[in-house]
Amino acid sequence: MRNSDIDAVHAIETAVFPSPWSRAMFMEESARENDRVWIVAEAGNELLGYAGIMLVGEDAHIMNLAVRRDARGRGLGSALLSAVIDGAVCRGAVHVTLEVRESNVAAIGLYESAGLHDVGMRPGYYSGGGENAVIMWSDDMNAPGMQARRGQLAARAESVLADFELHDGSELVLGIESSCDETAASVMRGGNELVSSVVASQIVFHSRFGGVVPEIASRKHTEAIVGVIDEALARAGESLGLDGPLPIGDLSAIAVTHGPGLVGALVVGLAYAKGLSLATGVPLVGVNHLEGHIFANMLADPTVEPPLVALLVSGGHTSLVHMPAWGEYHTLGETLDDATGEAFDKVAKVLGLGYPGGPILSTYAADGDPAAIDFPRAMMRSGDYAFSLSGLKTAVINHIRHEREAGREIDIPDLAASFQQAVIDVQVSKSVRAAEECGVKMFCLAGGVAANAALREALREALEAIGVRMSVPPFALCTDNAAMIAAAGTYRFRRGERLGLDAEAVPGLRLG
Amino acid sequence: MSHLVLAFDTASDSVAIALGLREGLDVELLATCDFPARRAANLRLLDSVAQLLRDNGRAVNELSEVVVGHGPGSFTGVRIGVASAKGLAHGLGVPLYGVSTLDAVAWRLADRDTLVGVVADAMRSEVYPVLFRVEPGHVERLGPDRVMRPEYAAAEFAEISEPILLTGDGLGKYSSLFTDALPNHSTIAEEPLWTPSGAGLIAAYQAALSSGGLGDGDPALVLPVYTRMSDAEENEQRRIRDGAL
Repeated sequence: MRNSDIDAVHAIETAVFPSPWSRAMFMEESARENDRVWIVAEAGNELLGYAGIMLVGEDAHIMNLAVRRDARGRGLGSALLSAVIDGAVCRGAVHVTLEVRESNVAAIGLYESAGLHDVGMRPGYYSGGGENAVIMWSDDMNAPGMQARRGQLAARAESVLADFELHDGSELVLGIESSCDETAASVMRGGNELVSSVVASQIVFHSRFGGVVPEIASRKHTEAIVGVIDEALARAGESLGLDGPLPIGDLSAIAVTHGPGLVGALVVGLAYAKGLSLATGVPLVGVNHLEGHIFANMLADPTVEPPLVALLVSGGHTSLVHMPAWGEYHTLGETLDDATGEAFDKVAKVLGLGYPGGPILSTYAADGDPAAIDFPRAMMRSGDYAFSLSGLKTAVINHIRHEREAGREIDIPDLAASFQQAVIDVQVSKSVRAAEECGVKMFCLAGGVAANAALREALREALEAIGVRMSVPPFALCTDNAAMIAAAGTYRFRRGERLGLDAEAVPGLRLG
Repeated sequence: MSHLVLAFDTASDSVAIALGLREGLDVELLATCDFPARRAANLRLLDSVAQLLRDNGRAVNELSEVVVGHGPGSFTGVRIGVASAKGLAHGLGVPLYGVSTLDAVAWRLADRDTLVGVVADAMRSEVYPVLFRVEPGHVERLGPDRVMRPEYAAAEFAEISEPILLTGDGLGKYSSLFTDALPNHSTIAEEPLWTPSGAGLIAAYQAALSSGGLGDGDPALVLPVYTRMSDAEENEQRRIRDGAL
């Protein structure tokens, strides 16, 4: 139970009990971590029930348990009871006890099913009508009979949770990513614990063309997909201490990138994932690739949470996104033409420096003068959050031609540094304005171009100056990977979102 | 012991799906579901597979092998079929086999007694032409999958003196080109027969079973047959040939 749950908990409390606890009592309970176990049941964004236990030495005193009226009759009370008892036993409790109204036959039956029995009566215990309380105690919770009973209760609870599409926070989700030139698969537990992550990069196949060739990407995904998933399941089996690969049937969900990206590349991962879902009955969840990049920040640093603004810069994307709350996105602006990484690639290609252009140019730029050549800062004062990189790219290419025609040698470090600075100036200026206008204190940088140290540092400095914290994931989580897809997929899965077998790839999928 | 077989093909503008029952090398056709689905294979394939299974009182986990038409055809179309089949077979833990999309087209004419020329549309002003020797109940492929301009394929067919029954969705664009090149010894199959069918796939699968060459069933190893490289690679080859590299 978090403080943010208390309004909903208190609403149920006042609706179901004749003499309800006050809001302040719940606040006080929620603050006590050492001797309390509180569990809430949520479906989507709705809180359906709660239960709380007080630990006193080896005794666990069940203080409260309630289920919203419209969610009753489906075993949720029993599931909550099972969860708090298990929580208490984990914390060293041996016996469980409680008082219950003599007239509440249903509750007495529920507690009996958990192995508690009637040991006496407190006459006139309840205020109001002075109803009698039945006192119930359990046997030693670790005795074989009681362990078996707890096991049964837990198994039933699991099916109840599945019925409500509820999750106990330890669900295993397989993520599949094929939106560009990396075939990737990952298994995550509970949305934030990395169990395995495999990325098969195609970079060597595209490098000689100076950019990603969509047809080659689609072919390589088709060749790699089964092997990459097998590897992710095998490594997951190892991490989880299983005797072999993690069985697909043990997954709670399969999360797949369904856009944005190269349509032919997306189709391969999506068609495969749909086949896997049909074969195994494991539900399928669609993830927006850009949302995945934002979740990569949360994987690296669990304290990152909305409200925030994210700048997504990669070979395929340049977007500023406002995320005011979980699951809510507003795309503030995108590139009108080339993506940032693409502009680096094209400039590097004209200079004959190789592929990918980002790391090559930024290495040269480190030795150059960023003020040597005054390249245009496109859209810098456009008043919106749109980006344009093709004008800058053309200006750089024209400069190169002009210098070559004039017979002058090109100073590559100066050119790289000046080009990079023009990119950085625009992105920093728009990022700062977005953070200010959206009133956020958190900023996420994501995508492969986040590896550019000069961009990272310029952004960090400018944002810190206005009191905004910037998060950048480690490089392996900046570039395309499936861990971020599994993480974002877990979130969508918990909200009950599903993709059908008729799902199609959406190359221009928008985030908000 | 009989094995429930699922076969499908999405290489053309038609989706072909079939259920079969295999005993040894014999495959009995149980049910089919063929429908036109231009650029809609990813949308409709797996729902239709699930429906066909339901209609026949079968559960997906009863399948013991999956067969996919591996092309040649539309690159994306073939990949939709192959990737879906990989997911299904991999998830079920059953073998996956690839059969030729063009064989499935030829097998639709297995009741004839003639030379059959399958001319499938390869887009970009090209076709996939293959000749088959067809006798009732028997179809023999006479050459490998390849891609070429339709006028070259027509000229090649024109050199054969025997009558040729032409089929394949390349005829949508090029039927007059072929009938002009083969004025006296070609006939054109009825248009509904130009694309693969579920029955044709199952027949092609049964033929491949007896002749071998289906591979070991590893879903990782079944790949599309493209017959040509990506444009980027073809341009690179051309530049190398022209001495520009």
